[in-house]
Amino acid sequence: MRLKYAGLICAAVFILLAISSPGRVEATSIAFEVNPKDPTCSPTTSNPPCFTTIQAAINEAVLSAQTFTTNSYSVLVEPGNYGEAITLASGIPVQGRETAGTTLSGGGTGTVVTASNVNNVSLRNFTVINAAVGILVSNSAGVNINNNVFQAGTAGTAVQIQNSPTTNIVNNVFYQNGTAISRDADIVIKNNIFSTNTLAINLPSAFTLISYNDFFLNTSDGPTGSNAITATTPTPLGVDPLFVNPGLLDFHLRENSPCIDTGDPSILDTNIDDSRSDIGAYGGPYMDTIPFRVSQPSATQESSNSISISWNPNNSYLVTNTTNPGSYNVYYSFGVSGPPYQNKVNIISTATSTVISGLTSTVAAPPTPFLYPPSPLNDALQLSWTASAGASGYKVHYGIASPDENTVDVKNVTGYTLRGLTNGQTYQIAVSAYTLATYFFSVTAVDNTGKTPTPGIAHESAYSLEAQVTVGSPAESANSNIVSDFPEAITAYPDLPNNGCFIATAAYGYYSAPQVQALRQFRDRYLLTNAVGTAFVKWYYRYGPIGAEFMNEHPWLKPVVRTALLPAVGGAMFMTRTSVTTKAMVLVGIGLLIMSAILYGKKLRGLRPGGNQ
Amino acid sequence: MKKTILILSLLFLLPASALAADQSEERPHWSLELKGGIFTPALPGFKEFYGSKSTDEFGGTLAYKIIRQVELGIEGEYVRAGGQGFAPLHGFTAGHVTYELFPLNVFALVRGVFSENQVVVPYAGGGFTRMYYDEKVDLQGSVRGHADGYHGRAGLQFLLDGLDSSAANSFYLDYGVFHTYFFIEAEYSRVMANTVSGGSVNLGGTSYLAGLLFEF
Repeated sequence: MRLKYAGLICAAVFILLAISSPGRVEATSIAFEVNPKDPTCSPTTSNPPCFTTIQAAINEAVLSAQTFTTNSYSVLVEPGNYGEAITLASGIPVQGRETAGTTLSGGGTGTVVTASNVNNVSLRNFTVINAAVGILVSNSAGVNINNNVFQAGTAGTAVQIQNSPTTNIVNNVFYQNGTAISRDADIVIKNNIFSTNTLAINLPSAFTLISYNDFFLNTSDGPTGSNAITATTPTPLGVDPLFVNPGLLDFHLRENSPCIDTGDPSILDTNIDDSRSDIGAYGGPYMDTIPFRVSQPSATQESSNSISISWNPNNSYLVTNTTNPGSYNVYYSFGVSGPPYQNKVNIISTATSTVISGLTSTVAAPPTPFLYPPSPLNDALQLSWTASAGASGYKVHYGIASPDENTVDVKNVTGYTLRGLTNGQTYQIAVSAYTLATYFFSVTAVDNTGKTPTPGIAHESAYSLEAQVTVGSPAESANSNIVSDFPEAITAYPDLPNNGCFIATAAYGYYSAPQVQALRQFRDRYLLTNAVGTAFVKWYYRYGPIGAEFMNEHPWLKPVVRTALLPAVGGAMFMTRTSVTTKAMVLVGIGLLIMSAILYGKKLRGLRPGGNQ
Repeated sequence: MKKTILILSLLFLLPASALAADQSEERPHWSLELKGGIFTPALPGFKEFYGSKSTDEFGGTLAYKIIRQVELGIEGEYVRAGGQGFAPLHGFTAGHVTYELFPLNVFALVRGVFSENQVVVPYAGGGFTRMYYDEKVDLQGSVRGHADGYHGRAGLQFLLDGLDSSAANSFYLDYGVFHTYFFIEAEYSRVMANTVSGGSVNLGGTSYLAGLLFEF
């Protein structure tokens, strides 16, 4: 018994010691995310914390690093276009998810990224465009600029280094900048491609640390340092790095690029093939391994159950390669847009099209919607109905005697303004829902490394824009309940008189009366378009209100005026509500009648005694 | 009642005439107001058709100071509301209507200012109003016109110069602005307009406004 208690006490003491003694604190790396496109992104509820601006993430990382000194913090920026000015902070590396898709823009002015009085900081995997200065590094130590693309513009400076001799600029692309790198000391500039810049590197400082760079089509290269990529046949233009498509900001290298495996031998492409590093933004240990996104595919129906889909090739040497090709994944879903997709087909990258067969083309008709009573409008009716589950769209059926007289496909909405109707005319209306067998397609490019591909994360591009194709015929529901109603002109509150049509408004009692509207339309279309008509309208505006007021004071005049206005109203309605053909036919008819009358009159005169005949 | 108003007005102006002799040429001659607030129309059915008994109002005035205490000026304002119209044959509300008013006022205004450093200045005024209106009904165009009436307003102005004397001085040196006031005021307008269906309605109403006044 005593031994039993001793064991218990020992166990309790052991547990107490275990939970009370200060254990060794584990250092943790935490990456704060920047993802303004994610509606769930929140600095408080997301794990890890998520921010909508890069600077907010950096600032929070600084505060967290001061509070939890054993942790290390970084900022990971998801693809998107960012227009903010960024100030880097000591010890907080900032990284883009995908170089080609994570863009920092200066809007043509200002400095995009500033590193001032900081140490041990890095900026990598971004595309910096349209800036007076892309990155300004001053009075700092240990600043690393890796795997970025700089296209600041011909008036801009991509990277400006001031009093920061331990800055490293490695594996970047400088394309179409005024000055690619401006520096005041000898700094490490390695594995970069300088193409089509006015000045690649400024001269005044020493250049012992410049090596393994490619210079092509720069107006002036400046110091090229050691081991620069040179042509077999010397040329002042340098060697074309063979970018895939600079116009689309795709600076991946094509097959046979001289920048493949020609970087610093001590740097390896550890994320792809462990070979000697490539030169440019897609080489070295910090490169992103996400192929450039495939353009939106085009898809067409091949037969009742098959679809043909094609896309433009991804020409990166890691995808399109004669000896070791990558591949494309074609993702598709039935009836549902966006990832995750229901199906996937892998196609070797020598092909850029495929036919997918065995697709379902029959769908069940959606439930019949319920049509609410319409709301009247001027020459229109406002309709609304209940949504039918699974419906791809709706059709509105309407007519005077039956809804089957006219049909309008209003697409996938639950409200519609039926226009072009006649005020006062009652219409029969119904609505039906239909479903289409619709497939949604997206294509991704997969690199040839054989490593596990994940769309938009590693070794596989982000999903392309979707293509959508309908297979077979639509399945339509029965017509909804029939509603009948008539459109009418709406009266505003308060029902104030208009400056025009005073007498007609007073005579017919309200401005929205069809007769008043016809006169108003005639005024706008036929009177105000010429000098004589405009003068008449001005005269009428001056004296019309007097007549209208007199009529309001003597209501017995209104039926008389209405009768007097009948020819004018009829003429206005004829002129404004009939087609040109109808007008022409009526005028010809009237002309014929007049001519007949004249001829008949002459004939009568000829028969009369004393006539000519 | 009229006598009382007359006596109060004279008492209000008496110090002004006494001070007028002491005033130098260095005094503001113009004032500019920018203001905004809410407008509650006198229309009995406004809430039914426009969803709220009030709507926003913005405006500005430019006035000339005949003497330090008396101003003559013009005022332009803008009121807008969106709501439903009425389908007369159906007998219920329908459609969408945008109702806009553009009151144009000509006014005389008396200010109880007796010192250039007076912190709180009461004022009252009124005058003629021409109210331009525009009722736009979706799918069928606008109804435009105007009606005439009158308005009166009163409020308090609070001198802001003391909050930042250097800024006030700079404002004077750079732009010739003598004083800047924050003010609150109430305004009533009555503008009767005939309706198409017969009778008349008051397009005016009561406004509660606040803004900034610059004297230059």
